[in-house]
Amino acid sequence: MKQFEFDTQEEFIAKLKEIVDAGVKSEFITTLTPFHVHEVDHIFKTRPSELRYFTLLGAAAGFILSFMFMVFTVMDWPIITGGKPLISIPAFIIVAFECTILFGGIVSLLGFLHLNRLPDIRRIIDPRECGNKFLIIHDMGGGK
Amino acid sequence: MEKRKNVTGEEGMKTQAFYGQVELDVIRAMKRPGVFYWIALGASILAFGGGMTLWGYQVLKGMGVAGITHPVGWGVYITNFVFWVGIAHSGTLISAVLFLFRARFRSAFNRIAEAMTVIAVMTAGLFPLIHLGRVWRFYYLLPYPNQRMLWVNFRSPLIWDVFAVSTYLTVSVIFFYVGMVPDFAAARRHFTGIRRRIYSILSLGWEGTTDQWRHYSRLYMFLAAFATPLVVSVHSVVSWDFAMSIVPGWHSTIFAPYFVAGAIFSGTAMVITLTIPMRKVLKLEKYITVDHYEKIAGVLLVTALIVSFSYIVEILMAAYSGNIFEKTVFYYRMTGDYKYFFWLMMFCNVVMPLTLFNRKLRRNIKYLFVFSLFVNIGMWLERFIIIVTSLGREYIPYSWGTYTPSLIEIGITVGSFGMFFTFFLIFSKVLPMLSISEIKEQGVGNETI
Amino acid sequence: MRPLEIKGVPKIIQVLAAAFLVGAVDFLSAERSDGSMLIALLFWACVGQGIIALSAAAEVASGKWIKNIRPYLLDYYPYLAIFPIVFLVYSRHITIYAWNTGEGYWWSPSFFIIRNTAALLFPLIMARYYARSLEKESPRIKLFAGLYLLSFVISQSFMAFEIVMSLEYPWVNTLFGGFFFVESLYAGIAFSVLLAGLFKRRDVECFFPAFKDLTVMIMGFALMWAGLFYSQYLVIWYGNIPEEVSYIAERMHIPAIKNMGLYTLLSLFLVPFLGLISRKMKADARVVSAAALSVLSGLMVERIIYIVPAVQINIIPAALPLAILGIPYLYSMIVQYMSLSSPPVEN
Repeated sequence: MKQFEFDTQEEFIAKLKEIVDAGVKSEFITTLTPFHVHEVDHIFKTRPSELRYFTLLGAAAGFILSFMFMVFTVMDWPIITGGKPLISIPAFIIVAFECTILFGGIVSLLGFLHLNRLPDIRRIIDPRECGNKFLIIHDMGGGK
Repeated sequence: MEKRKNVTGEEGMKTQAFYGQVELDVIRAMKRPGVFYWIALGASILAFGGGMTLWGYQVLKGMGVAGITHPVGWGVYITNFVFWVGIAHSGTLISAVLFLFRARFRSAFNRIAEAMTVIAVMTAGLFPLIHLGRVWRFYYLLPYPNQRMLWVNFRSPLIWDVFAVSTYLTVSVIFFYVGMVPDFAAARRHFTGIRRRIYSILSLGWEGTTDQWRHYSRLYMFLAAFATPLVVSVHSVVSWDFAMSIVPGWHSTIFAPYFVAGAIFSGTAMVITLTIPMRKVLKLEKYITVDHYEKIAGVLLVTALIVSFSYIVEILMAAYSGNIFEKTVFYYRMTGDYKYFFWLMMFCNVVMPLTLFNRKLRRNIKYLFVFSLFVNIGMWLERFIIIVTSLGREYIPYSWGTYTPSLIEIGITVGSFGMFFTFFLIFSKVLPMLSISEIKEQGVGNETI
Repeated sequence: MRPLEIKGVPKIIQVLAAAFLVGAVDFLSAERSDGSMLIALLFWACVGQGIIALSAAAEVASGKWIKNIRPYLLDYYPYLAIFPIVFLVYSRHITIYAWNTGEGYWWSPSFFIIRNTAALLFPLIMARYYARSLEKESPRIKLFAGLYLLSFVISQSFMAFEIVMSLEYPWVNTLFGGFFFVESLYAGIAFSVLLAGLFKRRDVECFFPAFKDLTVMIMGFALMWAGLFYSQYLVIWYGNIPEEVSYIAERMHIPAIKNMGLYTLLSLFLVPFLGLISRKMKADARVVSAAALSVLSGLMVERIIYIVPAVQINIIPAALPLAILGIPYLYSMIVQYMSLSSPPVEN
């Protein structure tokens, strides 16, 4: 296992490029940074985050489920209020819109926790501290 | 290669020193509280406790101790509800909407703004319950299969309110928490004992690997994208509490954008009221600079102009339409029992913001602080005027009347401010108040714009 | 970017020719076709004022993306002169207004004509100051941009409340003025993105940021338009007050108008918003231009919906002025595009 520590972003990226060019695959490299360094994604050529599927699923579910629910409640207890039709779309859109956002937000959060395997009990008890440094850790020979 | 090492050596030390300094500055704000803090916290808790006691008294004795009665059935409680939801909105504007616009100046305020949002929504959510009287019946508002075989009325604006405000609270809390996860990881380094353990748990074992940051950035962006329509929709829903009625002065299509602009206006003023003393006391002047305040004052100016336009349109349309009911209400607002409040409101919201056209005033911290206090008063009065004057001149002249807030209501209003400041002061000592990772990301020398 | 000097037919000639032709069509058309000209006036005033307003708004907000395309947009300001002239020609139809009994101070026909012509003239004057300050690179450019925005808001509000809303007395819609100027900005964005997309074909890099940001703005404004439309619809529908809801009822019960309404929803919200969600679509100039054209067509149909139950519209007298007033804009677009054959010098 080789570990490299850097003080600045620029040094870190330069070294990372070297390692990747030397042939080490991105699955074997772990980087720890104090903030999101976008160049790392470019160097590793990662696909866009899978989180967007969770978000879309949550939002769509929120919209459809809330509409279904409202229509069900109004059919279950069909009382006319204010002269409005039982299934009044203009009024229902608001609640459906809010539920879309609610479910979308919650499912996104759950998706994020799932994708990152958080909470990580091992790391809560024993955090891998890197301070404010930029770390590269890889465990394959062949790199520098 | 050697030459490169030398240069980066210096750069490296400067960068590391900067990162360390950011953490130290923010964490130091979380450590020893000074005398001012304890005095402020004590006063807030006193007000908060007083308000809660008065609420308890109201629950015991009944709604008669409040001033609301026929014809003005909505008074100071609903004013406070709309006021606090409005304050919450500008917090989300600063943290979510400005994020989507890639406005860098937001990183100085955004954690404080998000905290303000969460606390203000909690405070706002309390008021429909206070206004309910028989608080134990609040579950009537929740749509669940029940033994009464009833469902809530989804066609009612009050139910839209329930969904809108609870969605807003949930998404704001999620957004607030997610933003702080990397900062908890940074904070746990600087504490020991139980505080360290709590921050470790709250950080969920965050490390900062590539994948973690990748998903985190996406989540943050999606949450910002969700929070943005919430800013507009939640306050639109709150405004539709009024606009869906046929009360003259309330039934007006302009209410939605008018209230949203007013919310941003009053909330931004509250951000200024909060951050100016805070940056002085906690020595964060390096991070929250005059340039930031100039940009925030710009937001104040634009929203003030929108609010002024709405006032002008509403008043002119009342005259233009020839509708005697609208004309009566607006004439009453300008010349009736509440005319002093009306003209004070006009001064605070329309005349005073015009001074912000002057660049020197936008950069004058003391002036902005005093100005923001005026705006807070003016916007509270605006909600009061809209609610009380319209209801006071509602339907047939026989039932016209006035409204005077009782001491209980005033006490509970003061208590709500106490609640807000109590939670805010506690937050400022317990949670990281600036977005450490974002400031680090912006880099050395870029901590200002 | 150097401010542009468009060679070709001088703008003043274009303005006068367009106004004259529209007047001619109006005089030659059948007696009862009063609304036909109004559609053209409303639509092109919306687009024309919106183009300058977009530039002014970006100026005041210090948006860097607009820097390179701004001179091209401001080049369209002389066409603002068309609208007061066309309005004066239109004003012979003032009898269609229900309040035209001549009673009272505000509702006298001559005062109506004077104040609305002034309201349409005001943006022209402010736009001229703004364009001049850009040419001279004056430090007070933000002031003039702000003044133009003020005149824009006033002018659009007058158009909305006085020219359109008073046709449907006693219907009052306080958001109508705001809705008109948001729609005008939306039209300005659509037109600008057509321009930026066209310029992109010349592969001149300095227009790429403008194109990118304008695409995102179309999506944002699609949402904003939908929100404002919904605000008006919901309040009027829910209150169910006869004097307000009759406006919607008239327009929903005639199938032709109802279909036009659905078309506006589609073209002003669904197509721009859903069509531009994916990043690939946002980068493709043809897709974005199609979205912009959909927006412009939707706005045109919307003007028709606003006025159709209250006025008479015949097809030729409606279509001809629409086309005639569009010709100067199309002409300038082509001339600007041709002038790009030599890439401009960047400051």
